[in-house]
Amino acid sequence: MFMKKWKKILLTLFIIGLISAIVVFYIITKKPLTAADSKPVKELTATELFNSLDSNFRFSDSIFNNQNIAVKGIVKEIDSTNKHVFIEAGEAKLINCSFDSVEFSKIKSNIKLGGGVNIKGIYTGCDGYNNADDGMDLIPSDKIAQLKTCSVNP
Amino acid sequence: MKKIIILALAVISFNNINAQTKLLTTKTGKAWFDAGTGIEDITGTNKSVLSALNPATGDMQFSILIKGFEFWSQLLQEHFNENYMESDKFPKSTFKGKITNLDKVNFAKDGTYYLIVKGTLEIHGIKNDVETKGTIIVKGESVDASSEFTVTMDDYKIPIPGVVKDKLSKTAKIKINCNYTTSK
Repeated sequence: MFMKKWKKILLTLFIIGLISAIVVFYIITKKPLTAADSKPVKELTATELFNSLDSNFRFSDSIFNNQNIAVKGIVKEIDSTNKHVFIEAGEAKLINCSFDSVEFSKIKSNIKLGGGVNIKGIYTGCDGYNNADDGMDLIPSDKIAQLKTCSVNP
Repeated sequence: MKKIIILALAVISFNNINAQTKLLTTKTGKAWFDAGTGIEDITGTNKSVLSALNPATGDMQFSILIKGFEFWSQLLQEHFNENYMESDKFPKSTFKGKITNLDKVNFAKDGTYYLIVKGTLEIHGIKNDVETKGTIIVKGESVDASSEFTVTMDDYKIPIPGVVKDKLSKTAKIKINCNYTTSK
């Protein structure tokens, strides 16, 4: 009777330990959110993104922060070596979309300079709103919003 | 004939001077760091470093958005941004400095040049004077600059919680690589 009770306790502890180990392993090894394997929470044009940032940078920046957003616009620049596509968003305003090799190979044959594009990516911030305060006078004062782990938005 | 040669030489030297005075910039520089002790992979990569280099004066600047770093693990990314770098409060890391041995670099001639760069590095809202070595490879129109250096977490008041003190090194190895093009 006493042994049976101990066996039950040990078995319960073992199951709890096993479940905890699985949960901890899942949390530790969980890959970060990428645009390729998630749906965008917001779809907007390049101009709309900058209209929002221009109207209230701090607020809009915090709203988009770490979110998967899809941006439609015109291709301004393609950097095949470093796997970046730049979307034009008005005078001295760009969206820098950074891809991994797999996602870039999917998009590179379908885009051309001056052509339309719809890209989703994780928003990580926007440069150019306070460069003067930083003393970064040498870096061109273009406003550049950055999207990482980008992918084509179907 | 003499006039043509003189004119050709003048054009060549003007192009060389022009190449050396035009600002070199990049929007796709790479920054990589390793802050692990070997127990766990604590590395991150940022592929959107903004940088500018003035070949005439040797002035050099970098600007890196902290949230742009990519990690292999979601948990690591969260801890990096929220606990260590506090990227909401300090969204950028910058460097503003100068090549101190500019006389050793010829931006108009292909070759590998070794640099000494001095300046102010800002991480986590703390500015410190730094001096580091680097390399510039000039190949035609392409100017490729790279540097590798170590920063001490304590110097930038980056907290290391007790629970991860075995996994997280007190120093971080940082590598920067920028492929510059002439600014339009």
